[in-house]
Amino acid sequence: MVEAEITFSYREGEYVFRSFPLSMDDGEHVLLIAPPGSGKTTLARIITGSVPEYSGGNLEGHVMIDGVDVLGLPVPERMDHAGRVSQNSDDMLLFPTVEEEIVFPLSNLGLPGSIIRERIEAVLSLFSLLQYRHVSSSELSGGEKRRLLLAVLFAVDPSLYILDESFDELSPAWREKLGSLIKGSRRSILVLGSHPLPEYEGVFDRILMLEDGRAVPYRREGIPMLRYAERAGSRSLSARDLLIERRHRSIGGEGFCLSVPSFDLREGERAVLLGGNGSGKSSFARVLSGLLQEASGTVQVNGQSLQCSKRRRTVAYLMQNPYEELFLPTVLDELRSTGASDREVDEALSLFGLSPDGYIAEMSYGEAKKLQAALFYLLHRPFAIFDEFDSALPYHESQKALSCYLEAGSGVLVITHDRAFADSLGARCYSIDGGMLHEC
Amino acid sequence: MNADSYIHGNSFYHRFDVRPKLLFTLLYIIIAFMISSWYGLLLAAALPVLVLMHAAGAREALSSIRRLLPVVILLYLFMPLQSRDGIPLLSIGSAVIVTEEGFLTAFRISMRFIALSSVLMLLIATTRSGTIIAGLRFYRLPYNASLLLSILLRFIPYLGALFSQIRDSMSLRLQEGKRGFPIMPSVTAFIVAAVRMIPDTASALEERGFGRPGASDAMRLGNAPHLFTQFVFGAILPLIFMIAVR
Repeated sequence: MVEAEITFSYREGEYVFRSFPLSMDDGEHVLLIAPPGSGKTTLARIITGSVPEYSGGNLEGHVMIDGVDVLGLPVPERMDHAGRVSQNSDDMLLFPTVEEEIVFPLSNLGLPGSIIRERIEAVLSLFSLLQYRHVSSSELSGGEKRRLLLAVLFAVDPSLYILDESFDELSPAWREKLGSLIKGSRRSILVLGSHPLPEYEGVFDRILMLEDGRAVPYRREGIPMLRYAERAGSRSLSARDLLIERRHRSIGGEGFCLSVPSFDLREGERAVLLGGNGSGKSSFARVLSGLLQEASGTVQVNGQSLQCSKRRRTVAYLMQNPYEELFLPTVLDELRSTGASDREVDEALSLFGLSPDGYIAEMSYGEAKKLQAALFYLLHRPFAIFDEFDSALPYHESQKALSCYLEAGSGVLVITHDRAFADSLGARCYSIDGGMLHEC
Repeated sequence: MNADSYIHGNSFYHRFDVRPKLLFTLLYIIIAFMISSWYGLLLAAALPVLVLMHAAGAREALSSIRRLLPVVILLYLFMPLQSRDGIPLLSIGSAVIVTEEGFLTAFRISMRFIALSSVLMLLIATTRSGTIIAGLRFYRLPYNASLLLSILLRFIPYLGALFSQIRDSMSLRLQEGKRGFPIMPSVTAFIVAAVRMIPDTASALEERGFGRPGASDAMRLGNAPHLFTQFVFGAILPLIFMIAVR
């Protein structure tokens, strides 16, 4: 049983929650949908303890889990009451190998070695991570990292599971599997999301949305089709006979090998790339944007081969994790680093709904994605790759950002796991199956 | 803070048991600070680099060592300016800019820095983190202290990886006609990210139960083949090296 009432503000008078009530029955599965910046991650971190301990802020209220007010417990002592899977996987990964990542919390629970080994085997198998046991977690793809964090949470098995946008970055098959795991679990599970997904269907006992600081029953909304004023250009980005190889150096084995016989994207055109976790979607994006050297083949613009340094100035790459691209202190610092004029910066701020004074460290994941989009928008690249941009953003926000680029004449490649979102773009489709990229 | 520090391999240093390896590492660092001859220092810096090349391959070794270059360059730029006494090597008018003594001081510090960093890199590139913790526990270090030490050991490669990430990110923002990556924003970004990493790591550790009473040791080291011989080598090799080059 979970029963909470929380009042919290990072700064005096600026409330994130004001007497926010939340109650869940034993074994109840609740989905809470809210836009970025509404406090979903803050709520999760308040319950597990890193807010306000490491962020500052004023917290009042209580969170009763199994009759214990966890807010009165030191952070490490809350671990068997509540645990979370962070929206930003890199925040929570601390150890060089997948196995060590799971061993650490289990050792801290004081479990005997035999139980620890049993649980490790069980969760590695549950999340198909056995082959990555000794692989460095930094060598995993975004979806694999998410599965690792889920494995850690399921191994610890607290009374309350908090999954912060945990369906995002998972392939459709893994989303379905996670849905069935939630459905079959006897634990209380709170899933935080920014938009409805088809895989949520039939999984939850209640679906709520945040409205005026209250959790109210969710009102279903469909996904609109993407609309924008088309502006075609003359350049075309293409890849021919590409071979991309990545190996796991921590185990000396091959990570994957991706073959791309042919890929084309024209300025002003939109295309979608689908594929499973770890299939090489991000590596392909890194090759197109010049951050990774291909093993063989060529990347061309209008038939002319492009060196990596030239690709970086031709293709904008909005990485899956926005924090891998945002390092300066404020929104304004980031936008000015593009060399844009003050007028252009102001225009981008208004177009992408950003506040100039925002601090990067205080931004939500979804807001960081909007800033990432604004930043590359100012660079006027003829081509842009949005790597799982739709995760952590409501559909209309993702579509708005895409339409800004398309109306400016950029060719846009959208990497996504969300088939419904892909369909709403009405775009040409590429897919990766069996180590090969091909047109759907 | 998940930089990939361990590199799979089957070299003699990979197979060297962690217990004598830790002893060897500690003695090597102490000796690198006791040597004063220029050729001894040069050898002390070069030896771990050569072993790293053998254990992890030339490409990995050079990419690891390249991360030390900014610090070494800064040392050579600023250290000679600190000691102006001695035989002048570079003067502008009557002002002595660089002296032989100043240059030698920079050389000594940089060689010791490379020796220390590369022998630690060698340790973490050839030993898994859990094994290092178990090795430290063998020397009766408390679990929490062993864990923190193993995280600290990975801090340098993590910072290297972080800087590469920032450099990549900044290079995507370059305007037409510019090359490389913007240095000042990258350095600012690096400092901000490195400082932010401290509370992030601490909160992730605590949320995973670090500091709970009654934590168990999941990993214990068993008997290794020829452990005594390995210990003897781990202790004697650095001493022989010191006697040879002093």
